[in-house]
Amino acid sequence: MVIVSSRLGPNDAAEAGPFGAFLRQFRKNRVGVVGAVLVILIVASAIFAPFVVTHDPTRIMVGPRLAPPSLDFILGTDQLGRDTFSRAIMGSRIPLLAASVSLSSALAVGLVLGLIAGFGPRWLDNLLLLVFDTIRSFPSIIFALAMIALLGPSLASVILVIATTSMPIYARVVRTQTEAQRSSEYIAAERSMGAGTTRILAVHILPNVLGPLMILVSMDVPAVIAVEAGLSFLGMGVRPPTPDWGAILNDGYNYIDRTPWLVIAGGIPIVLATLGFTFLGEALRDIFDPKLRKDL
Amino acid sequence: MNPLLRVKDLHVRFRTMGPLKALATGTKDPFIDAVCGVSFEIRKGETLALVGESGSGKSTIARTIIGLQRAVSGSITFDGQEIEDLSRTERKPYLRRMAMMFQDPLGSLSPRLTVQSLLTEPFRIHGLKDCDVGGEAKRLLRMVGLPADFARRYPHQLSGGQARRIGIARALALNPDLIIADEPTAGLDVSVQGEVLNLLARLQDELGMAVLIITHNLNVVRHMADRMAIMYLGRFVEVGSTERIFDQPRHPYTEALLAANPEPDPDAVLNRIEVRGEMPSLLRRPSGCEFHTRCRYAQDICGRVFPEPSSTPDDTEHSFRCHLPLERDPATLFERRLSPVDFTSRITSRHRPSASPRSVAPK
Amino acid sequence: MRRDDSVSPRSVLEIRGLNLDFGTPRGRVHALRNVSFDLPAGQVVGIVGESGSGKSTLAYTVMGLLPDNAEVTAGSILFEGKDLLKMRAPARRSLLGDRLSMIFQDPMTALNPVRTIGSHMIDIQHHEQVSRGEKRARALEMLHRVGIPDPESRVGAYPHHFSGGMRQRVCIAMALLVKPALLVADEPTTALDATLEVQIIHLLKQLQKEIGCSILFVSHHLGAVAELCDRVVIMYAGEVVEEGSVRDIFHNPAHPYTRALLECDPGRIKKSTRTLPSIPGEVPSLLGTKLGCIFRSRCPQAFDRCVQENPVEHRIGLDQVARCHLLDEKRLVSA
Repeated sequence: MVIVSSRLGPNDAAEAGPFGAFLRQFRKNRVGVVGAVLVILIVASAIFAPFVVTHDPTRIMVGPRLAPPSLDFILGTDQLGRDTFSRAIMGSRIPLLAASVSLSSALAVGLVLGLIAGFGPRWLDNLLLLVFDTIRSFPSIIFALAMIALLGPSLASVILVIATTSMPIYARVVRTQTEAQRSSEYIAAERSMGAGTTRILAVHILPNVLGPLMILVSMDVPAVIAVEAGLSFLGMGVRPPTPDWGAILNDGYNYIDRTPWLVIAGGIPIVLATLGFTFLGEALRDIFDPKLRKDL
Repeated sequence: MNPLLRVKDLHVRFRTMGPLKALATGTKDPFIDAVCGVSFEIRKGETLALVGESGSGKSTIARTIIGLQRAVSGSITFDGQEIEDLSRTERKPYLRRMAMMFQDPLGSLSPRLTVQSLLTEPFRIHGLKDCDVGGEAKRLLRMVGLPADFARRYPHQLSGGQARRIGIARALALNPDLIIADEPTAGLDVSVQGEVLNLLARLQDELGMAVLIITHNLNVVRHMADRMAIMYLGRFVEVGSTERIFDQPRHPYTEALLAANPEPDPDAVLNRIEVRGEMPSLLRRPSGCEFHTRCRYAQDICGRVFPEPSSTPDDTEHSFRCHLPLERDPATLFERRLSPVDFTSRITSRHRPSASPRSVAPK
Repeated sequence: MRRDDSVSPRSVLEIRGLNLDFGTPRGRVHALRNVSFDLPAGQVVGIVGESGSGKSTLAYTVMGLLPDNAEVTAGSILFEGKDLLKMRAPARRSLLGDRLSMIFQDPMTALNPVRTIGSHMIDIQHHEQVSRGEKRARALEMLHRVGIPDPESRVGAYPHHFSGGMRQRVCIAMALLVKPALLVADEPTTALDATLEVQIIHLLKQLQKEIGCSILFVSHHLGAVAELCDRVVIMYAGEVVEEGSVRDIFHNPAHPYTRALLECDPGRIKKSTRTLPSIPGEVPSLLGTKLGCIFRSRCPQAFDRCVQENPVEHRIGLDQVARCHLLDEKRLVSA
């Protein structure tokens, strides 16, 4: 077995860049490919939403109230006669925006704090760990309700809540990975050549930390979409009449005894988005690091 | 001529427990002395070997010289300049002139960089931006006898011997005056060991750098080093020219190490000098001569009095810490190859300690 | 294909035509090819080879401790006359720690860190029908025999309380406690310092004589093999290239690889030199089937026959066999 890993033919070796190897492995993972296709479709439809919609998503009475699906209104209309399909397409923008803003800020802060904790002095590590664990020890839904009560219901509050609660998880993963790399011999070798801390962190540690972190983030996207939809459903997210998946569900919920279309139309995109990101995240995790979740 | 590197009375200590725990358990001295008062010099172009078993402190010395470890006291002078008390930035220009090869040939290469980036790391670290990176990588690969297309490989695609060559090439990238080689043959097969040592020797002849070899393998020392120092529990127990020590070891530990090198010959099973027991813990250093617990010649004085370094009158460079230094017959351990039936010489001891404890005047 | 008296009762272990593949994403790796040799009762046989020679794979195959992707494609392993490869799993398992035991390269990973040495040593005697007190007494006696000072107080200690050398002694004590017919030792001294290596080799030699078991000693260290073994099997890239008594192998090596390997050992070169011998080139990939001698790419004496034909075994003297075309050529010339 030793032979296999250490002896590649010269031609093989030259071609097998890390990205090429990744693509080859990814294509074999069917669930991952389905996930990737779903994610690309959803993100593309959010970006190009104005060109995809068939009606103005906020205009009232473009059709009859609570109409079932028809050629003109693919997913029917809501209680105000708005086109549900257009609202669902447009509505993907809010959850995706919430997910990308909150997770990227959590990622940035978590990455920096994690690197500091993992590479800095011991006392700072202990202090930061205490902070991470304190935040994590709050039940997140109570934390969210408290923050919204404090800041008022808005998209910004939702983003802030998500960013704050996911940051410590990322920071801990980064810290664990950093600490593992820190004591490895190649870091000592870099130091012995005179490399400074910034260079070691940026060139050597960061690439080793980033992979697992990206997997974690991609697996958190569906959770964030669900949380955002949930908060909007409870009326604590975006204000009407902004189209949003959670809001569509909320509208439909009131009329569920008369027509199920609204709930279905609002629910399908959430299900598809959640599945897509989950599949993609799991495929990435399987390829890169099957043991990742144990690092938490 | 000034020596290139002078290490004087170097002490390195490691903490064994946190300050709170030390306070709680009432430990007054929660440290172990990994290196205790070691002094040596390396001249330009010379090869010195530090020999010892694991835990003897040999790697700690290397890490202290290169600045990965701080000394408690003592001085390290590189080309006339004291470098031990320098900060990391102040030390950087000196790190350009010395390079270290680490024990693990693969583990010391950053796993996500290509060989080309790995080889040219030193140029980037020291801000030599105007050099031709691809060209330098090719030159270094050629120097260590690897084909140019290795530049695009990643560390995990290298065998142990190839990774070791990359390590040598990188150490030589900036044409250093001193190379510290920590176990240069560790993890290599016998058939490759020779290649790597020959390469190192050839490059040393061509480029004229000094080499500090850290190893437990006496076979490496014999062919590479001009001088050698044997370490036990963080101290030098014997220092001298390689030839001299192999020919006539004076310290019983040196003798035991030389004999612990099993002869690849089934008939050469001579009187093996086996040392008893294991190296004591650094937490509980024996009194007197620290080797007396395992020494087969130990006498009363050894457990009581700490031996100072002494040397023979005819070779002042050869010094050893022993109350009862070995004297031996002219026939040396290695020239005398026994025939299969020579049973008599298997029994007779060819070493005996000198009769009086102080036959050799202390330095 | 060799030795007409192949069912000699004097052999503890007889390996015949053993072939083993590893399934990998890049194809089948033929890690052992046509391996045959005998281990006579009460003797120590050394398996010598460099990394990738398959020597450890062979030890693990005998013990039945292979990973899932390994598959024995042909051959037999006769242990005390019974084919281990045809045995049912429970029967084979019951041999381990009874008639067959093993010591590993890393004595720390071979011991459970949360259990005491004593409980390890009592557990290993689960085949014996004696009281716990008796088992404990035996454990103490064995620890004493392997040179652990003050075994009564050390028996309650955990593996991490022991140094590397002491841990290997404990492992040897455990392996020999059950009085096995065969002890498989996979590089038992590689992780140890030189002075400890000597101690462990002497200990193994002395205990082997007292207990009378056979040892399969896997090592890359020629000095250790010369000191301990009665017979030597030289492996290269998954094949046995030469086999014989330790004297014949070290004094009269017949295969070019054996000769090169012996020349490379820096322990043999007594004169200080700046150019040490080495074997240029690398071990060939074991993927796919190859025709010809496996060593030919690195052999200084290779000729056209080495490319076209697999070498067969040639007997030299009474007791030495090597697989090399040169031996055949020599015989033709002399005939």
